[in-house]
Amino acid sequence: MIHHPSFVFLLAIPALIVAGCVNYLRPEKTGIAPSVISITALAMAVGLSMGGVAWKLGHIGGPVSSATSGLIIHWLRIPGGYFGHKPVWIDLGIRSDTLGVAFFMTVLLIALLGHIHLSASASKSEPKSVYYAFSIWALAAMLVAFLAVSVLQLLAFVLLAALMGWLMLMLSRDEPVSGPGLLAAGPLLIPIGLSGASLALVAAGSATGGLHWLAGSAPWPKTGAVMQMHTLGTYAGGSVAGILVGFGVLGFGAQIPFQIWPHEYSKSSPSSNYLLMSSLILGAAPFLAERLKPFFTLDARLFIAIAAAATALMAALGTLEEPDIRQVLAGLSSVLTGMALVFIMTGSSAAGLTLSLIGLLAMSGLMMVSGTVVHNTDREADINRLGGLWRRLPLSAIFSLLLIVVLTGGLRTGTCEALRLGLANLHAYAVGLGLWGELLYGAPVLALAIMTISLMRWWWRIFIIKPRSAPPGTTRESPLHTFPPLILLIGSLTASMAFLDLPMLIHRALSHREMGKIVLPTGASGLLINDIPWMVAGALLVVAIAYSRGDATLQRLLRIPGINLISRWLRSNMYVADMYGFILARPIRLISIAVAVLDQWLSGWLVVMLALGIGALGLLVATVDGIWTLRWWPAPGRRMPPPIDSPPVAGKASSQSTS
Amino acid sequence: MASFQYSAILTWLIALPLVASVIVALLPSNGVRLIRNTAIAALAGMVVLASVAVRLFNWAPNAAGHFQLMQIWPWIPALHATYFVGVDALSMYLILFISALSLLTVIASYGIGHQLRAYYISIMLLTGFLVGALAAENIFLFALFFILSIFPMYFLTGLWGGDRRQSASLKFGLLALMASGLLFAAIFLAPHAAHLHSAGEAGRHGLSHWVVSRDLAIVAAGHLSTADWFLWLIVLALGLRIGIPGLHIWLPDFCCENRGAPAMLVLGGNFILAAYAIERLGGPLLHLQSGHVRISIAWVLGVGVILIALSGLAQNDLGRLIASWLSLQAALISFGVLAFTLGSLQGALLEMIGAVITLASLIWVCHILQLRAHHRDLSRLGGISQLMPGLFVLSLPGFIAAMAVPGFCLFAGEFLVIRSVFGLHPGKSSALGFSSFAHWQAVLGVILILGLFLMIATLLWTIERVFFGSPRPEYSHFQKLTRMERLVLLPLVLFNLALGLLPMLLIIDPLASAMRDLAHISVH
Repeated sequence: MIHHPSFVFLLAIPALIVAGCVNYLRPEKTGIAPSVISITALAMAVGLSMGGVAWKLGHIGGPVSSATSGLIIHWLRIPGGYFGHKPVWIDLGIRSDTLGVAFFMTVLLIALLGHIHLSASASKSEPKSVYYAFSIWALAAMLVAFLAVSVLQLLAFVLLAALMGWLMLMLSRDEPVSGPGLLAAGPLLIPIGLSGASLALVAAGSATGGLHWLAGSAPWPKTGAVMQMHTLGTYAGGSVAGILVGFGVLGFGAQIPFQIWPHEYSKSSPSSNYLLMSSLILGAAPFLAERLKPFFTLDARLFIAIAAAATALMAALGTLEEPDIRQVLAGLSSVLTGMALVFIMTGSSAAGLTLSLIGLLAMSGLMMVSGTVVHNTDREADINRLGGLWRRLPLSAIFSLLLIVVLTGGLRTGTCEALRLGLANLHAYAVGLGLWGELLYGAPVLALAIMTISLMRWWWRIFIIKPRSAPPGTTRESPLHTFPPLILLIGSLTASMAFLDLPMLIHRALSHREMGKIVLPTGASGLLINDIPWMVAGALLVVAIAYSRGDATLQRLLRIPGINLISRWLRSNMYVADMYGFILARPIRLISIAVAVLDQWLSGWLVVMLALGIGALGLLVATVDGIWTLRWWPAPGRRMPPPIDSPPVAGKASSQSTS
Repeated sequence: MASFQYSAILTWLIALPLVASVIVALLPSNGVRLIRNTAIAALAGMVVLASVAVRLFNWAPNAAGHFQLMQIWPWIPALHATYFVGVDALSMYLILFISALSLLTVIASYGIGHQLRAYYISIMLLTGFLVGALAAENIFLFALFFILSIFPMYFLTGLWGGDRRQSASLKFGLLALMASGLLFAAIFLAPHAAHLHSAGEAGRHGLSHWVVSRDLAIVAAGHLSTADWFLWLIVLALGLRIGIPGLHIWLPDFCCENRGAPAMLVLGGNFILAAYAIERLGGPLLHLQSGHVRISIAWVLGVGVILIALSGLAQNDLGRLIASWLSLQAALISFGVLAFTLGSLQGALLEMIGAVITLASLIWVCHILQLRAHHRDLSRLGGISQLMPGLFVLSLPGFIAAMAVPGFCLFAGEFLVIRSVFGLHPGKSSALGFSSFAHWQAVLGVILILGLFLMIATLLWTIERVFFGSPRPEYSHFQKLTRMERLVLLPLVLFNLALGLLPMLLIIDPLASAMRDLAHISVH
């Protein structure tokens, strides 16, 4: 067994869980010790996982797409009924296929670097030990999900990861979550949405006889539209089930209508690490979508694609006027995830997953840079009060510019090939949909352009533009602050090198499952596809011109009728003042209060009525008893004897004596 | 017949706490330590004795489903009542569980400051009656223990409860007595089964009262009016006792006014007893009814689930919120019993044990908070994770388990029950017995899921309101978690995780044959 690659991967997980337990059981500790415990466990996990990769390659000795499953535990048996159905086992285990291992390694590496970066910002008061525990448990749950052998295991661990992430977030927030009521609490939506997805899937699977697909008793589904095939029997039923499951994916990926939670993450301290965690969760959403893809009918896929495209466009627009440097990145993470989801749902999984992997590396680097900025400016995060920081943080300035280039696919680096491939496929898909389909294509293209401008604005405003007053703080960047983004920059650049041909590798890894063909982009494959490499240069030019005379020019640009209004409206309504408050939370709260009052009133009055009823019954019995007693017990003509100790009645005694 | 089938150990188990309560009654009232140590020793002895019974019990798959360790004495021939005790794997497991819960309760009772003798006597009497009910095989004996257990619960609430304890205990007492009255009425309304209640008959046929109840239902099936009366009386009695949505009217006050240690045994014991009766007595009866009866009950429960979840959402009182949650758990168990497949019954069993472990955690946390803040108002709490990190760390598993998160004790049970509500296959006869209504059945499942969502959201919000945010200045004096408080929470956390991670090993496999026998009662 020890020679099995899954075993080596599995060893990485207990290392993380134990480190989390050590930190959890010393909840008040602060300083460097909890950080060291986490970093040590993460480093061990990285080492073991690399061993796992080596074992896997040695074990397989064949195509990288092969999956090896091992160490499967039959966790729970769902008995068959007495109508001849066979029992179904829910399996837990490790399935080290190429896609899962790629995400596993990427997320683990980013988490290790993130914790190293965090240790540079840790102070004597924060973060507390228990924070590290939730952070590392969330990570461990996500890693198990990447290598899950069954759909139910995948959903269960994704749910655990979301819950742990939420606990980590809530632990160090001083302010309540945005908006009134219950559902306004943004991050709550992740576990709720995911629970919904899980239960819907279970329900649909149970109702449809497709449970063995979900539980892992049958091989991982290879054909499309499992729900449609094994279902309530109808295509529409399969679509409804698929859309419900899609809500879980959308919730995990912070897409409409669950888009608000990454912004809540950025309001906590230490914010960069929260952003990082949200980025990891977001990065896992495309993986989840890809894994659950066989459960989506074509209609369900289109639904998810439309939601993701709309999110990409709206979130990108919302970041154009965002003043908080962390929230710009949070919004752009949603954009990136939205685009990856669109690609996956429209048949180009290789493009979506490549975009997600490289984007995850680059976006995490940018988030660390934002953490460095905040740390070195006495927690100043308002973009309007920053500027000219390239003198104090030169390495961060250079690395972040290069990371932006990588993230937007500039100069044929980073995400360029993935974007071109995905957009080309999307164009073909959209043309097939007809006139309205062009909108599905237009939204991500426009979102990409706006994202590029937004990122350049972010960079320019932080590092280049001359500030009105010097930003607070005097400290300079430390090696621990610059080292992790550099590693991520190198990693993302390397992963996107042409000789590796990452999209093709991922395509091969997926080749045994349903997916669209890779359609290489040609010169006429749609608007802007071949202009992506130059988009970043164009954006830089736009921003440079806009800021050439300070803020005023850009502000004038943003006053173009419509753009500024849309941007402000989106920023305020998509993220801060919750739309759920009015749509859902308040009516539900009101109804619940009415029910509770009625319940309390009824329970009180029912008991009173019961008591009254028993009392009335008692009275009745007493009356009947009295009548019975008067009639039967004392014989007619016989008087009841007076009580022995009763005093003589004064009036009667006197009247008797008088007579 | 193997020799292990007859033994006096169950009688000893029932008698031990009752005898110990007499001994405690004879101790001087000012000997606080002596009284307490005697009670702890008695209940520890009970755990040991229960463990010995577990050891004596034959767990082989072909034997664990049958009643063992039996003892039969004639009692009141005119009423067909016998002292007939015996256990199958399910009862054996629950007796061990109740013994452990009682011991934990006594250990946690260090804070009780007045009328100690009466307190410990009540606890031990309650334990004895609960064990008696779980071991009883004669339905009359069961009903007797069922009714006797009300009195210690009534006194424990009325004497050691909160400010409105008298109202709460009166409400519970009245309704629980009513439930017991209904149960007795059901027994006496079923003349066809009466002849089977004699010890001789039972001994000759190897029958238990549960099997008798099945025969009773079969006989009654030929007399529809009798069957309906019997069914509705049983449903009402057991629903009232466990507090299913709609019949939970005593539960909120009872949860609020029962404080600390006694609450764990009173609420947990009552829940176990009622759920056990539902699974054993209600299940076979319900399954033999027509699909329309069962679908009617299922729909009423479904609507009740939504209403109780909404009611929980509106609560600002942590005690009332726990009551709503408990009522929802009762509904889930009832759904499992309504579906009456092997999976759903196993789910209901897991749900029963998991719910009591979680309930004990939540109640204890509520008590700890109330001791310090002097209220349970959620809108006035907050920042407890910073003030009492130890409490946060040890209570979080309980809250997470209450949401039925994977890896914690309620997940497997809830999963199996929900799955059973959706049925086995729409094309064939479905679990709830209405094959032509498969889509309605799916709608019912969706309603149930919606209710669970609301409860999950409410619990997440509760965690947020209690533990997170800035701590209030007036709570800066909060004492950290004491050693005893930690000692009570720790085993609950361990139980919680063990049951969540290993449900097959700890519950499903050992009890598989007993559950299979129960599920097959109505098939053959």
